[in-house]
Amino acid sequence: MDKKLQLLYQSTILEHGQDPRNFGKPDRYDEFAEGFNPLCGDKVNIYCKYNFNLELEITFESVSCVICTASASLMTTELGGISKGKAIELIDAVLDGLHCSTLNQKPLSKQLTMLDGVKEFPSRIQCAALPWATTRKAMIESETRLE
Amino acid sequence: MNKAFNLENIRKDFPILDQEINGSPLAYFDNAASTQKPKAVIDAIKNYYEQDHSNVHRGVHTLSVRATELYEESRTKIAKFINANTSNEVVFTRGTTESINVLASTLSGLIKQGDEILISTMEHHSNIVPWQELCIRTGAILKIIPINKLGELQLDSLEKLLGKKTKIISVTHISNTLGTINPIKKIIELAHLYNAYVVIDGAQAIAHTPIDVQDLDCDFYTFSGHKLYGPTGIGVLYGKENLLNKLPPYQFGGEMILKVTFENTSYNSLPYKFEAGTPNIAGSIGLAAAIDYLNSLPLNLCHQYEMEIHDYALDQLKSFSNIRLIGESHKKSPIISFIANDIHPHDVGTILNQKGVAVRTGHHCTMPLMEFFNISGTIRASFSFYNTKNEVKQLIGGLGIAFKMLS
Ligand SMILES: Cc1ncc(COP(=O)(O)O)c(C=O)c1O
Repeated sequence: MDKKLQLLYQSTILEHGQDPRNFGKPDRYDEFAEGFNPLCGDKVNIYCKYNFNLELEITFESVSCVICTASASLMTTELGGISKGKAIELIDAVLDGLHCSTLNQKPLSKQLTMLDGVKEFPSRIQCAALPWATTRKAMIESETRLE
Repeated sequence: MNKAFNLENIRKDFPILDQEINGSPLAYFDNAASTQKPKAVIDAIKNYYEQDHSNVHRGVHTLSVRATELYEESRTKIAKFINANTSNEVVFTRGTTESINVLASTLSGLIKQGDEILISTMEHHSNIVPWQELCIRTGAILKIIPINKLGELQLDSLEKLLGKKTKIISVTHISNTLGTINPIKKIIELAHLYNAYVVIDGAQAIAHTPIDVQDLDCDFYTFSGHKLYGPTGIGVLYGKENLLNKLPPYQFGGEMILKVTFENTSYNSLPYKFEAGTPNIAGSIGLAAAIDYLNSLPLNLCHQYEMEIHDYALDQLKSFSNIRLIGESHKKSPIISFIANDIHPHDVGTILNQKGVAVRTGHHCTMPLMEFFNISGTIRASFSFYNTKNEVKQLIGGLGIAFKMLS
């Protein structure tokens, strides 16, 4: 089997893609954004809420490919329980890693470096980036709303 | 006249086909997006730039005369290819999208608030958005001709939608997503009973069926060169001469004028009225070369063969139990769209590409149609006369791998 394909669709990605964590719409949430990839029609909804310690709880809904779904699922497990500031830092590191450098060079968890496989497939980088960019949008837009 | 269909020779005419993608021979099934170019087209463009290039309609020197002759010769060839009454009825544009935009923009003047424009559920975005914009500008109402579950236009509904207020009907001849061939001759006949203008989006049809605009009696027909084995950036707006004469110019500048003073400008005659600025001369020459090339082939046999490949692929696809076809019209062109249970088209497309197979995945610029079928996208294989049964086998093999990996 093809090495690059195996890297892209490695077991963790397939597993998260087919059985995503933190999937669904919560009854109550503080921040929301809708992400859309006009190239393929994929949609992601991101819901963020903060507990009394201001730690993030994040869930998502999507109609999307394996790469996008897995990326969203991995993202929710990474961002859950940290502060908003830390979350934005991590999001920026991942987006930067996907678009410019490689995720391997960033101080990221092993889980996230799995998304590196997508770099061999330029047409799929957007799929992996969509949930992260959408979460960023949810967080930033809610701030401008408050101002 | 009895030319034989020779697949091997035809494939040799298309240099791009002879290559490997990710270690497998290329199997190109994205012909509905754009067809590949025969060497004759590539050479014509090269020769033009190496020997004949200058600006058109402007100079007395030899190169300008040559370029003008070639440009106008191309127009004549295209007029013949679609059986236009005169070459004045062939306006060069950038492609189908621009042709439709020219119409939606220049027909505005004839539209009043409350008038109705009809399009169908299966239209490409380029045959939706320009009309939406026209409606916003004029207060006209956009109405949608429905389709059935097989992806066929519902003519009885069209008859009910037609009325005194109907001013324009713009429908696709062949659906780029479903492959449906619409009964446009009948639609044109019906529309003309109400004195409505008919615009046909011929982007897909031009490569797969002979077009006779006079026999169809259509008011406007639009297509792109790059889907007819010609270059990108060149397309055609056909319009009946008396109608084109009635419309105002689309853009303003050089080439489209007769006489300019600071007080007043008079416009050039057809087709130049619609061709402001230096046109895509090389593109028109490339498109004419594509038409010459097609005319050198037994075109009816080519069209038949494409459908054979389509039928073969359809039959092979039946070996997968997880596939649902999108678009099962009784009259079809060589396009197959399908989805696979719970497996996203994008993932399948990536795996197929890794096996050298080029298909298109996604909404194919027909989002409202995706909504009708309640899906986000399809996997689409679209065929040309240069495709082979072996390539279809490669597609089926690739799908087997993709489904195994993803389910
Ligand atoms: C049915 C249909 N209409 C319009 C278009 C737009 O053509 P172009 O992008 O060449 O302007 C296409 C091409 O994808 C098409 O398939």
